[in-house]
Amino acid sequence: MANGPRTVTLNEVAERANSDPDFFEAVVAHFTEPNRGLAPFEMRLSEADEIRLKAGLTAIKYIDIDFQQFGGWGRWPRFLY
Amino acid sequence: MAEIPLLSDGVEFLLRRTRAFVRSTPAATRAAANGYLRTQGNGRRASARTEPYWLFLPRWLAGKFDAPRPRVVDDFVWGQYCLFAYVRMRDDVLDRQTANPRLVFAADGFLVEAERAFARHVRDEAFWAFFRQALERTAHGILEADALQRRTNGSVRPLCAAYARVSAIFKVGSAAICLPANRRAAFARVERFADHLAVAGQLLDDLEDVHEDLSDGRCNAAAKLLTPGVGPADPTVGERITHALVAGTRLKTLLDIVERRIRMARAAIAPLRMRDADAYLVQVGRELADIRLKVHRARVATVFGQAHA
Repeated sequence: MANGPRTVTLNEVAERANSDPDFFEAVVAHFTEPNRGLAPFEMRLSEADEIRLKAGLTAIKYIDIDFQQFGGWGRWPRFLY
Repeated sequence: MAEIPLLSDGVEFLLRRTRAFVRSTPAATRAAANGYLRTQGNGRRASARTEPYWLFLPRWLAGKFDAPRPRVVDDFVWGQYCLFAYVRMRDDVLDRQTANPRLVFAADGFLVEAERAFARHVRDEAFWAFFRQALERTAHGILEADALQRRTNGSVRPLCAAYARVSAIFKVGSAAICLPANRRAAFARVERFADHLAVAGQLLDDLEDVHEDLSDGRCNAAAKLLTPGVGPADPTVGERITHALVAGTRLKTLLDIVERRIRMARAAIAPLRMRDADAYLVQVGRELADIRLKVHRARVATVFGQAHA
């Protein structure tokens, strides 16, 4: 008899998402577009972790990405003074 | 491949000349310029980040062709820097980044100084026609980009074209090398290189400024790419953009466009076989890869950090 998807913790998912951008996008898609999911990865979250992740995604108000530290080649520089 | 040299000598020389130039202006002009530059300046740069391409281009080209003397090339770089100062100051007045409207007249002094720097060495009519055209393109481009950003609809393509026009002044230093030497084909390649890098850089700048521009009633190119069809007046646009940055697939699309522009810049300049330009673009490519990695980590931290909270 085939095994079903393995139940994983939110920490495990976060660790894998950190090292695998495609996986991260699949996880996010699972919770924002119901037709896509984690099935290809043979994983599932517990019901409680699913609720926590969904709540997290809907609560997002801010992301801290400092693009200013990059793009010296593109940004107009600060003055030399 | 050699690491791209940072313009440390060039930076020192520009710093010195900027200070000397401001000191040479009348007291009222000096006061306006000093008040602004002291808040905007960063003195000697502490970090070893890649400098903008337009400070390098004249030197790369001078090394490639029958070069004018280094002091002449320095004057061209200085003239280029003065054009940047002129436009940047006026743009900061327009965007209300500075509260002192007198700055527009202090900025005019930098325009005249730029003209003086080039006129010391270049009489070529083709160059001066380009000089005037570049100023016009930049001025019109700034207002055009502003108008496009205030529209609810509209695709990103015309906005990117406007961004390239905004950066027209950054080709003037290279024009001073190429046009008097009748290197028109080479200059056409330089123009394409500069246009692509200008758009790539502005798209990243737009990501940084996306919320700030929104609060000024403008959906910049990043906003338009992340939330297509949503205008600056839509009360949900800020939230939608944040969500798109964290959880959407369009951020990757935006970074792919930046990467494609860098590739196109490389394709444009490669036939000129300038080793420093090749090395520079390799470094730019590395920086973009670094951005992708850091963006990904920030997204994961945001999604799972929230979930753990």
